[in-house]
Amino acid sequence: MTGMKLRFQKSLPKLVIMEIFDFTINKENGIHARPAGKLVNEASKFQSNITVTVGTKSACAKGLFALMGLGIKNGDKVTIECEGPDESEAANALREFFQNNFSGNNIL
Amino acid sequence: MIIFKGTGIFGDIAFGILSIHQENFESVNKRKVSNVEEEIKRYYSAREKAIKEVRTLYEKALNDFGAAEAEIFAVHEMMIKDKDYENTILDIIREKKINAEYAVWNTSHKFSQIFSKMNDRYMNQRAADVRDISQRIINCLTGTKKLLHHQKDAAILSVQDLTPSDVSSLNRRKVAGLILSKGSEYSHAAIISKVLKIPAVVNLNKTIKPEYDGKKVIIDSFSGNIYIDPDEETEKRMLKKKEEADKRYELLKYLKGKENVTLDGRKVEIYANLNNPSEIEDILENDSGGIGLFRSEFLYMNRDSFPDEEEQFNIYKNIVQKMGDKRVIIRTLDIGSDKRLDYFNFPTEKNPALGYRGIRVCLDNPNIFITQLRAIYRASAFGNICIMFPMIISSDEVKYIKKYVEDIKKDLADSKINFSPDVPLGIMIETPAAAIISDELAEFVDFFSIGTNDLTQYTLAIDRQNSIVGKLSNPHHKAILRLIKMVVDNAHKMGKWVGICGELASDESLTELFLSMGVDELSVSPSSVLSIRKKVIETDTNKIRDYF
Repeated sequence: MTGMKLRFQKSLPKLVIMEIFDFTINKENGIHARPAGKLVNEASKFQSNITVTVGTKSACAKGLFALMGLGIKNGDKVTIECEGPDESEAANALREFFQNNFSGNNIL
Repeated sequence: MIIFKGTGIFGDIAFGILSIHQENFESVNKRKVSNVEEEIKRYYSAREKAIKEVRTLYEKALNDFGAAEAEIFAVHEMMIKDKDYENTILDIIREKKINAEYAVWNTSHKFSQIFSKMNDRYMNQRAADVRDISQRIINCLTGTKKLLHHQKDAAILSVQDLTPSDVSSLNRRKVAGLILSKGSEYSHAAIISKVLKIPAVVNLNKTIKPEYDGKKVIIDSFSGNIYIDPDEETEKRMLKKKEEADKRYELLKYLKGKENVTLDGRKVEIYANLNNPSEIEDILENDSGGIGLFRSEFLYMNRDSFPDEEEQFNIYKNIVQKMGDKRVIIRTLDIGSDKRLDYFNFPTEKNPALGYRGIRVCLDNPNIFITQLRAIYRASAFGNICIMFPMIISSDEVKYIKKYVEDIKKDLADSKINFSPDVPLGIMIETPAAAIISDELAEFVDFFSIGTNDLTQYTLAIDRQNSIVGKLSNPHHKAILRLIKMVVDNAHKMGKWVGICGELASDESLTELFLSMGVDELSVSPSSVLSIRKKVIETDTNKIRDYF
């Protein structure tokens, strides 16, 4: 599920190394405006390219509209890819961010 | 008189003069520019100005409405700063050599469509946010200010939808009500109307014509009706409804925090029933003294397998923590009869109400029972939990249950898991058998809770869902009232407490009788808590008529 993985980038037929992890959203309204804003703030702290994928749609985690446009709902499985100079720091920080904000600890 | 119909937000009645606002967003001038770089500079300075404005609005909203409602302006700032949005505007200015206003307007159209096309009513509303920030930038470019010009007092504003910026510029003293022909109950305007207690009607069935501007209007946000040019009779009716509403809100304000004590000093606990966790806010808001009937079935419904211990534990824990030191009486799983689970095989029964249900299912399936009890005991370390068991008919069942409980407690203690060792254990009295032997049962439990719905149907032998005989059902039947009295007396003889859950608990015509019997607790729907409190406060149990 998590860790360093080799992957073909969608557009380029070359192997790149990146940090990647999956997360299942457990939050009543999914990633709507306010949580999306928080995610953008978090992702913007890093230089790496950070991509969020749900189903067949992907978006840069630093763009609010792009992220909201994914329409991520409660129960959706998202994949987060970080690629760049600080990718492992970014992946660790985002993993924690998703845990703290979308893991359903707050069921009410 | 013309009547419109929509969805009412925040129940109240408002009287005023209709003030209609036309949206002028659709008209932005398009013109060619010779100096593209100059136009881009114009855009950037407007963008800076817009960012400053939303920051000011954020501060204002934080003061006026609180953090949750102010948050939208923080999101607006991020939207204005969004790179995709910015680049789209710049591209249009560069490629089409066109003015910044038009580029912003065009971009707004593109981006708002992302949201209005989404299959999600919450996200659809975000299209209004895109238009809001874009209009703000356009206003900064042209130097105009779009204000809601409602000079008259007691104005009832009619607009397509209000943007968050519009709402925060509203003069609360002058606006009596809101009509949003498009908005939904999820829009910011609707949410803020609730916070500010301004009655609003949204999502109308037809459009309000401009010629109605300046006419007299009444909005009834209980029913969602709007009356333009109301006739005398309607006006009278609405005045009366307004008076009643005012009285009720006053009453609720006055009753909150009061003790449930009769004129002659008898006290009673008024708790609320909980069907699912979303009701917890309502339960606290209405000042319930506890949860008198936590129906645990929601944990098991709408899924394809039994919930495990961990999942149940987290839900119980969460709820008892929210209730603080208030009592939470959890009823163990009560399935069978009309409540079935897709993933559990029920036998085919000719008469399921008299069949495999409640404690009978649990004692027959120890795994289900033990999982639930362990989860509840673990949660007992975090609050004030009681457990009660449904459909009891004999003291053997109670002894059997207590053996399970002792095993579970020993297990938890051995594994060094925290729990409260003195969780009060009670039973539902909902069969005539349990009521009749309540003297014996009282020895083995800490409390009773009388479930009047089933007790009525079993005592009168009337299926309340059977339309042919259902009308014969009379919960005020002497037999029921005598059984209740018997149960209360038997419990008190043994020093145990008695509650009533089920519909009779909120039947105000019986409140004084229950008080005179000495019932210790009534558990009702959250919205009935304060009206029952009112009834209690007005009762003198020395002056009770004869019910038997």
